[in-house]
Amino acid sequence: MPVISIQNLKKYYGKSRGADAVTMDVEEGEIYGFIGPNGAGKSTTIKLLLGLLKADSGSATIFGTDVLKDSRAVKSRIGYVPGDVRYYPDMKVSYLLDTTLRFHQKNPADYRAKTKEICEIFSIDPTKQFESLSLGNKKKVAIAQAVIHNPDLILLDEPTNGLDPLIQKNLFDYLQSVNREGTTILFSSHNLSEVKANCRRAGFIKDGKIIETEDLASNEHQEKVITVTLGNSGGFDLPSSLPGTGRLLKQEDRKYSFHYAGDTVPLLSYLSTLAPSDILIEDESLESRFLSYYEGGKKA
Amino acid sequence: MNVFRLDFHNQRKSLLVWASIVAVSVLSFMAFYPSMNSTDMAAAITSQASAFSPEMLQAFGLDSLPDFTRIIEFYAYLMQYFALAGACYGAILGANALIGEETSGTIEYLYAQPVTRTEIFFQKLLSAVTSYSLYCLAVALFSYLSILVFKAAGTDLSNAFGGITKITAGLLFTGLIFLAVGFLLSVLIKSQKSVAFLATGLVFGTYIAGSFALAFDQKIDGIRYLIYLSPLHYAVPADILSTGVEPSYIWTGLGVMLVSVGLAYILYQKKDLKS
Repeated sequence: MPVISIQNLKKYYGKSRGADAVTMDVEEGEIYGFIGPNGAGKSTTIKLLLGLLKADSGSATIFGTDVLKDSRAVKSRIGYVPGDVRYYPDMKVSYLLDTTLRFHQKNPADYRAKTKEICEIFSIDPTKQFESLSLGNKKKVAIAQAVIHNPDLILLDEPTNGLDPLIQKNLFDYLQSVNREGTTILFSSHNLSEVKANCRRAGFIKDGKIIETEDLASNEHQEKVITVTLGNSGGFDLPSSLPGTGRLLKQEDRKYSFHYAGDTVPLLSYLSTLAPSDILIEDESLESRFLSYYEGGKKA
Repeated sequence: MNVFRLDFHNQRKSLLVWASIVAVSVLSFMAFYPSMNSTDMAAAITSQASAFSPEMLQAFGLDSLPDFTRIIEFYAYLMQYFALAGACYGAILGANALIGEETSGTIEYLYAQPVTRTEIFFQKLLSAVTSYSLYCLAVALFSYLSILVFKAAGTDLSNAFGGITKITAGLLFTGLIFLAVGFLLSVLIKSQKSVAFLATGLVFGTYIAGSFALAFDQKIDGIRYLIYLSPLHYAVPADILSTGVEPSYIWTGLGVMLVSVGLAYILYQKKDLKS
């Protein structure tokens, strides 16, 4: 059973689209990357999952429980890092962490060692008042309060925004370590390399819809980016008889770039009939995949 | 009770400021009592007051002229103005209760914790009521102290303290009505920025309506019922000392509180987080 199961979740802010029939699953024990440009619907989807926003339609369950029907039970197992961290300005970091523990029915006194450990990992001064912190330090506090109570699921909305590279590394090292102990993690990001380095799967969201879910851990379906330069001025089209599927990325004069999923041997046989002057075959990067989805790529 | 604890923690500075201001003010104004405690001063006030029209005297709460030589009557006269301040504090507490965290964005932290909206609603209400009750307690304590410090020889302390207790109960009652209405406003308004304006507008608007009703009661038929719009007129300190609070005012006040909180609860359950 998936830890997170979302079915056709829809949310509009008046006429403005937030999420439009989002459907996705996150399996137990995986680190799932949630990719999309600004305004694609990542934050809205996460907020709907937490019950921060009320969906117009659709449903979502976490650990098999409807997120709206029993939000208390669901949230007792979740840690959440918001994209825009706004906590109580006058509050000391230590008080905020203790308050989070109390909300999760944990005695702060029993978590002194854990609090100290988390503050050391993320270089947090617990005696500071929240309003005195920089953007990056506020983010670190948000991460600390999301993990302090040992949640079974951690939701992070663009967690590395404002973090220096050292803390980014510490964050992912920590997430990997709690993931090895069974914690499921979903994080949204613009940083594709951190998604590729840490996630088993990634979902691409565009205009409020999940347009593709990638299995990043598997090489079986690794797509290629193929650039072919034709020797003559004839047209270029991939025949439907080929076993794979292709999508045109870019065309400049007689130079065609497309990505292709499937057995490349029949493709190369076909391309050789077009008398190409050059063929370049590369593994498709997540970046090019991202660009192909969000720059309006179309089928070749 | 984590929401209560968190909310009260966040309100403590504001409570301290309001309680300190009122404490200093009570002591400062009561310091005038020794100079009022003379037959010459009483005669001078009576003479000055006779120059005003009955409507003006009504508006300033001087329709039945207090005996300023009695410390509890002098205190009761002052307290009608402190009641205005208390009502403002109650209305601001209520109006800030829910919209404050939405405007600052901290509500996202609260909503992400394992706590229901019903718990958030009622624990925030309890926190606001507790803050206001402590404010009233501070008013009462400094009022007792002022009587002890500035009393004249032969003052009946048990009578004076009893009077302060009753007047404080009235302050609590009217303030809680404004707090409840403020709580309803807190669900309806879109930003905390308008809270101070709306809260003071609510207090002074209803007070003016009530004063108008009293001033023109003899001239305009039926205008007296406007007084039900003004909680501050339900428990006028001088009236509390002389006749107590009319049961119809108590029931109306309780009804306003119940309807305001009930409506606020229904609307809050449907309310979405601002995106």
